[in-house]
Amino acid sequence: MVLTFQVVTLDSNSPDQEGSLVFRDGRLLAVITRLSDIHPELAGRWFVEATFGRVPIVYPPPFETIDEFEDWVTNAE
Amino acid sequence: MVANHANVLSTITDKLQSLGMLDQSDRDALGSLVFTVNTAPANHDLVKQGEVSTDLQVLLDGYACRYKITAEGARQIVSFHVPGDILDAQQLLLGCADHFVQTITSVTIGAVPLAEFRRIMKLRPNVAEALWRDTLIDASIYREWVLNVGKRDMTSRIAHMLCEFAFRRENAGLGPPGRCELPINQHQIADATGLSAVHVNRVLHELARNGLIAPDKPEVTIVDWPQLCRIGDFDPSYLHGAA
Repeated sequence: MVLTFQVVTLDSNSPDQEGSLVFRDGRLLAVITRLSDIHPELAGRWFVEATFGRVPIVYPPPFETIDEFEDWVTNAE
Repeated sequence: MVANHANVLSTITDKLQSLGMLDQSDRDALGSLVFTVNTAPANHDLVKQGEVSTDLQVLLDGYACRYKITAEGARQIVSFHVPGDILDAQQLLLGCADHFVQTITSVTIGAVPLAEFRRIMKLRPNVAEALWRDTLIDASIYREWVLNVGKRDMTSRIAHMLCEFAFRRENAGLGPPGRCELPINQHQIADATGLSAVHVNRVLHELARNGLIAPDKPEVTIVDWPQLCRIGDFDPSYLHGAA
């Protein structure tokens, strides 16, 4: 499994605009956002906006690093 | 509120009176109820799924919610409760609890033995009818919540939930909804609307930016009640005037 990332700007109607498309083996798997400072305790963390394939009914807590997000994707299989 | 014998009974009687036509004999029967008064801190489970209760719990002061939880641990709040609400009326006729009841703030509870209440229900048809009506209104609220969680967009969904809470708080005699502070945090709003706390925070910022709620408050303070009702598609007729 190879994860690749493509930086995008989100139109989220909020200051949370810095995001990334996440591809698994070339197919779109998730959209993640770097949280802005409107989230005082979570600013800078990566939030999973949407996933395809395995839909998380329980929202995972925002990840501190991309590595943590990758671990979550791997373990969600 | 200081819970003494008189105001505990008047809370129960007033609630049932608002649900149906009680005569003096009904009120006398309710006045003879035996009860205990308990307090509990915030975030405390008053009822646990699977447990069998011996008491009917009436919320006298503070706020509470009912919730269910999935096997994965995801929590869904299914209703909010204000003073005067009977928290576990289903225990009157069903067996063990099929959901949890949790405090949102510190609370005062009046606990009436179920056997006592069942006895009065059999003797006093007006009391039984009032409880039936309470159950039907509960069902109406749940129908509205299914619509809210299933079909309204994030902003409308959160606005509707805030409107209902504020409206029911006013009906409980706790002040008008405009400029009122609601004792619910973002995690509780998220659990009641099926959204993440991140999405709730974004919507609350949007509502604050548009002047509907006060900005930068740990608890929600409604500023523009009419506009919040409009955005939330809030029509209180489903509460049938008594919830």
